[in-house]
Amino acid sequence: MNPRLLLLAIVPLGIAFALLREPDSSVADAGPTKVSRTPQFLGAGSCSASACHNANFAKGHTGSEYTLWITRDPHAKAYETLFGERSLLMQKNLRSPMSAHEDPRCLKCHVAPDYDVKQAPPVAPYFKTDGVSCESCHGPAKNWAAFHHLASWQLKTPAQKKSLGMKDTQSLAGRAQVCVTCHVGAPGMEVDHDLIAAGHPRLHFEFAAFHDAMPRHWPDFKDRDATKSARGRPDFEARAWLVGQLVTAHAALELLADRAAEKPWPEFAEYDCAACHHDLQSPSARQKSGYGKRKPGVLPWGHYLALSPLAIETLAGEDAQALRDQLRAVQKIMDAGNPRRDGVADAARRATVISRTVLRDLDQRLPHSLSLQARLQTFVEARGADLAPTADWLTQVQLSHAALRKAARDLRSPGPAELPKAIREGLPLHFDPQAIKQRLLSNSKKGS
Amino acid sequence: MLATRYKACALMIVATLAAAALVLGRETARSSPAPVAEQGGPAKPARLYYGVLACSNGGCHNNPTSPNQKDILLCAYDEVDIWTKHDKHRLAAKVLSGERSKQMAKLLGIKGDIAKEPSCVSCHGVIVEDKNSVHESFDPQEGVSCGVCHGHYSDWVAQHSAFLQRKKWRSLGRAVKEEQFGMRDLWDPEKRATLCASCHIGNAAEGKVVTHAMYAAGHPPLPGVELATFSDAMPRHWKYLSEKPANVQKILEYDPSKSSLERTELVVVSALVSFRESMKLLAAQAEQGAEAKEADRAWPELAQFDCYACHHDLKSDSWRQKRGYAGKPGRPTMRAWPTALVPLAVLHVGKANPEREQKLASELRDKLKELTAAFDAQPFGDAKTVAIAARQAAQWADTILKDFKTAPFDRAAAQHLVVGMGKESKLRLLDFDSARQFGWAFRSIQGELDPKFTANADSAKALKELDEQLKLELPKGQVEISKDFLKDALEKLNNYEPEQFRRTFERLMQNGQKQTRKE
Repeated sequence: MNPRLLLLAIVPLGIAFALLREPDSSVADAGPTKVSRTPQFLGAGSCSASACHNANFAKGHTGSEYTLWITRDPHAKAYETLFGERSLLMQKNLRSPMSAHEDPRCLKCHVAPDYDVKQAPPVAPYFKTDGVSCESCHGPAKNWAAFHHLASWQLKTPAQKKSLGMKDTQSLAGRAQVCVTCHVGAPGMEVDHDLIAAGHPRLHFEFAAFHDAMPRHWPDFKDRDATKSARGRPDFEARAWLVGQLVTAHAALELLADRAAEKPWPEFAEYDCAACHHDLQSPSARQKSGYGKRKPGVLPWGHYLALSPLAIETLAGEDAQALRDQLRAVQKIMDAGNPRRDGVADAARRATVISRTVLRDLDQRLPHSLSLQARLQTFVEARGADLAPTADWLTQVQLSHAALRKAARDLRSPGPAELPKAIREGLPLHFDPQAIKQRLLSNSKKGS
Repeated sequence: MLATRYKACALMIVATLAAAALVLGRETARSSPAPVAEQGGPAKPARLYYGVLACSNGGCHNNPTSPNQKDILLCAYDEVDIWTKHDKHRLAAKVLSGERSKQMAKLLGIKGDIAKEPSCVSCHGVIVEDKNSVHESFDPQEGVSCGVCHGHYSDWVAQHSAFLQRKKWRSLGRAVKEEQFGMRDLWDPEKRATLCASCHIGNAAEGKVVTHAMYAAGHPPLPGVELATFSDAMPRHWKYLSEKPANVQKILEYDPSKSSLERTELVVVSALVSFRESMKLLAAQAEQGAEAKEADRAWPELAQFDCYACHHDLKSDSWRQKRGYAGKPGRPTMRAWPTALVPLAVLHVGKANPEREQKLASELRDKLKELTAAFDAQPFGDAKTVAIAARQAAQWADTILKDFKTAPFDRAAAQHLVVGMGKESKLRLLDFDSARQFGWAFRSIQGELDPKFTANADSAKALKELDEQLKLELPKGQVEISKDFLKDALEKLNNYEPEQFRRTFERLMQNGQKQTRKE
């Protein structure tokens, strides 16, 4: 049998399996119940042998990974950051009894999700100083480092690989899942408002745009070229955006459900920072533009889910519709003001149940060929009348817009019209929703 | 159907009877003026809503040049004149028909006439509780007019002006005038401060509450108040008791031998009353919020929190992060300014009674600690605990007001306060509104101690710098605050740097103390 065909069969199956378990288990790994399965990290030093991932080959080729990561990838500095002035200030403001670089709350994202300070395995005493290194994303390597270069490894299913500790970074959903764990957050590893007020920068994330900005230590053609790789897709960027939106939405909802059920509530990090954090001005552009469906003074929610309805629209299946409805229900509760935690937890939990099933067979639901070019404008237009843009909403529009334009270039199809300069550069300190709205609407008319 | 009709009929009859009774009652009250104190006086003064015309006609309160009376004049006769031409309170009702109010009505979903919306009129005018108690002079467009502060009661209005009653009326004590006739005793600084605070801070029982929804819809932020400064900016249509002739002072129960510094007293009393009233409001809102099921009445009512804890542009080099937080970072606390000058009140009591000062200071620390803990327990605080802590703090403030009766506001006391203010301002980095409290209080007290204080060039310069930072100078005359003044004040607020304030204030304090010593 042609090994390529075999791979073609294995990959989607693997994705399905991975998705079946991934969102649950990778997140839950952080929980205390799984302590017995202490991950065994070997450290980046173990991957960087010159015969392996540090072979000084050209960028993106096997052997160049370590060099690229250590020289170009900001993830390599994640641990170092914990010694910086800002980290010291945070530690002071949080009245933390321990240093940031010893605080498990920090290390979960600044080193690895599964990293447990107390149970640090003796095999890699310097593991944490590597920051977000190879095993932070690919999984603890103790059980697979010795075999993963062998031909037999290639025959293993993603599920088998996962059971040995290697995470799925081949499928888009698996890859996005790895990113959102820190960049959106997960129960037990989150950037909440306490941390932000103490000095932590707030989180923003849109998978495709962030993926594009990250220096790639893997061969790019494998993602994009169907003739050279089983996972290759010419509409990779469009898919990345779509999958990213859904995985992000799922992660954000899981986090919301956990916060509403378990954590101090309300959690301000759920809301648009600039809704409250703006200098008061008179006359006020916010008051002039009104608040859409929200009552005045109600905090706007939905940062990560700003464009997920757009993504869900493209999916096949009845439960996609159900997901959209449930998202709307969550939004409605959050927009009513002073949302009660039990109601929020319940509605968000329901939404994650649906989104989990949607993610499970996401590959089958994706449209055969993606044409996303006009969607962004349509979306902005459709919301036209009750559009009350927030700075976070605009961030999502901008990041998605960047991703979709790149996607359109790849597909050699017309993309969404270029956003006016005022909007591109317009994530302003003095955010003016009315001006943004007018520009967006006039732009979408031009584009269509 | 039939039963409904019967019910309606019965209701109409009852209503007609009630109305008739009210009208008759009122007529009786009018035709036979209430007896004065010796004859017992009315048990409860009768409500009657007056317009400004009732006070200005007959050549009374708008006739400064030719008073037509031979009796002693307790006032200057120009009150309506000043109020009509200069007082901002006159605009209170008019602004309800302005652009900003229209925008607010739209955003808040108020369908009817905003000029009749009780939650607005409670402060911007008069809520008429009984349509039968309206004098023909009453005009709702007059906003916060005479009766709003002095008392909408027929008994005193008739008595204090009627030719035959006047002399007797003037012989009555302030307390009698208030309790039996309904003329509010505004000569009492505590009562005056409480009245002003009912709108300028809020009073839940009187339906005077600015909610966060109102702010978000466009209501200008309520600033901190310091009564001596705010009264001058109204401008005042009265004289301080110490400025009045001796015979008037006697009637109004003022003892000039006590050499009371009235501005200084007003600063400290209003500081304490502001604290008490904001604690009461906080408690009332938290109590309501803890019970409420509807989202828009539930806790948190964001208007009860420090506006600028959230409403500031995010800066990477933030003075708030440098200052640190009383509790957990990122948990909004209550507004700080009403607490800013409370230590001065404690200090003042302590001048005569150091032991009492220690006790009060430690009680204040405890009260504030309890409040901080209640706000820190969870984001936006635990409503029930907040309510309890705030109620206790309000009660505590009340006990100090009683202490003031034995602590005279003389020159030595004022000097003591200025020194104390200097120490207090250095203890922590102050937010904009708290810094303003210090700025205003200093100007009022130092200005009373030494009216020529600003003759010193450096003091004048420092004061000007302080005004640049804090916009201490309030607009004179009938300026609509929501227009140019607010824009400018918000800009100052946004650019405020606490360390810069501290430096300027310290300079000012040193100059002030030097000059006072020289005398």
